[in-house]
Amino acid sequence: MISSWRAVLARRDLLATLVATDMRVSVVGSRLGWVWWFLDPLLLMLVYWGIIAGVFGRGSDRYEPYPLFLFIALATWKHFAASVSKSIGVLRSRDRLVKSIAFPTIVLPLSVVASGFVYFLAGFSVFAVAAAIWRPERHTGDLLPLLQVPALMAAQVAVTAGVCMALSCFGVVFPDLRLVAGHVLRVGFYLSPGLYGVDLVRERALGALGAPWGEWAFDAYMANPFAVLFTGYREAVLYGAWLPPHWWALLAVEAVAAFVLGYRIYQHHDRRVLKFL
Amino acid sequence: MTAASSSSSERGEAPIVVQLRGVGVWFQPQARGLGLLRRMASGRAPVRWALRDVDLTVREGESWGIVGHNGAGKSTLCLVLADILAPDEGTVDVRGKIAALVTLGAGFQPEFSARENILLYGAFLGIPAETMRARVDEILAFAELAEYADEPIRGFSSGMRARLGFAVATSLDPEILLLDEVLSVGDRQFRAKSRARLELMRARSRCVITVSHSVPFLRQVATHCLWLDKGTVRMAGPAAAVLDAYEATGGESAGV
Repeated sequence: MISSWRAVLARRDLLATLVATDMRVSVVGSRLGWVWWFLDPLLLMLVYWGIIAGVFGRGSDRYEPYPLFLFIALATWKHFAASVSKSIGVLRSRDRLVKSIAFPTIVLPLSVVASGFVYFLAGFSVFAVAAAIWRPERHTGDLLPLLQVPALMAAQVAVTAGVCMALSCFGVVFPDLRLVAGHVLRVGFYLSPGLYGVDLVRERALGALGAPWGEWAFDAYMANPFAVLFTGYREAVLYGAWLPPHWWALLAVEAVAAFVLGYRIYQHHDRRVLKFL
Repeated sequence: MTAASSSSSERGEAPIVVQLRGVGVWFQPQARGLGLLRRMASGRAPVRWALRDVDLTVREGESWGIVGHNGAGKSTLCLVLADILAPDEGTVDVRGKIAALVTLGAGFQPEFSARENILLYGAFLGIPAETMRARVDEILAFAELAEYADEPIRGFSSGMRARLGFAVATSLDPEILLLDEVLSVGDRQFRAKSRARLELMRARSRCVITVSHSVPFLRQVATHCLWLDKGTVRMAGPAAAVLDAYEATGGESAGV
């Protein structure tokens, strides 16, 4: 069955069932069950905070509250990284199913992204509550910038889904991609402003290259959609501020391009790629 | 239905349900390590045609059998007919709701109960949840698993899983029925019951396509046969003639 959008929309109940299935499977084998959806990003934050603030004595001097500053970037990146590494193997891991029932197989990578997004929402709710309690001094007092959050989430899902749709096909042909992806994702996180802010990147770029070149280098750095996403969540929730319009425009173009490109790649390989399973 | 029961005059008038024209599917032999690097460096990958120039026209009321040696392309043809695999060349036209009974129990989640797995399988097949919920008890009763309905299937024996797989896959009412090999699961009593259900499905379907190694079985159920040999059509037509020719070669591949 062709994985067209019409077919996916007609089978949205299957997508919902797969998300619910994934979430149930994730808690079946553990004692704490769904508590892990909240606990996992918290523990990850504690590890990074402990190392950067506790051991190196950095972070908290510049970004306040640093644990939350870290948390939202880690949760956003975790959604992306976990979805990517799962998507690479999703068709291979369900090869018997893919080879025996005709259904729009694109729902498999999409369900990976969607269930990961539900975990992200659980983490985000912890972040939002903690941000309301632990409001930093820098907060403008304006709550309207929170309206940016749904749009940021939509862009995050679009970018992640686009990458995952494409990589789920490539993962069938090159199973080793999963091993490569682990390293690329690790480098990707450190290159993105997860542990630090974009202000530091701009400062360093201007310091090293001077006025016009430094600004251009910084603009190039912001082409990473996760630089805009991390900054957007921080500005909207932690500081009550708006993202500059040109960053919004850049993020919107990248989100649409990633999604359309990922979808087109899947369509191209759809119902052919299983020959490599 | 027997092979002799198809009348050629009727055949011309009955509407076409499945039509394949010049269908071809290639596979790439797996390469690893140095072989893969060499292939990447040259930019050329050898291909093996699993199907080539396959034409097939199935009309309403017909029951087709697909025979051939191991590796002749029968299962690949099944995947193409079931709209699971797209052909690399040629066209496939299937006019009607098709049910492919290829692998039983694919997609089952071991952590889920039998009841939940039935609903999950229904979702994969595109059956609305309400419709599937209404059928759950009947499916469980047929699989003789009503008393284990809410237990995770992780604890089920392979026979119990196969019965559940068969019961849920055959709970459909398809217009075109596609069977890969003779489905035989469970003990003698269950096998008799499953045969009766398949017969009922055959009778209700607009057409049936069965892939099998068993010539006696196909003589019983098929009106027409397609003999595949190394991915190409060796012979197609009334079942008796094709099966006689197939048996005359010992069912072996040409040139062997």
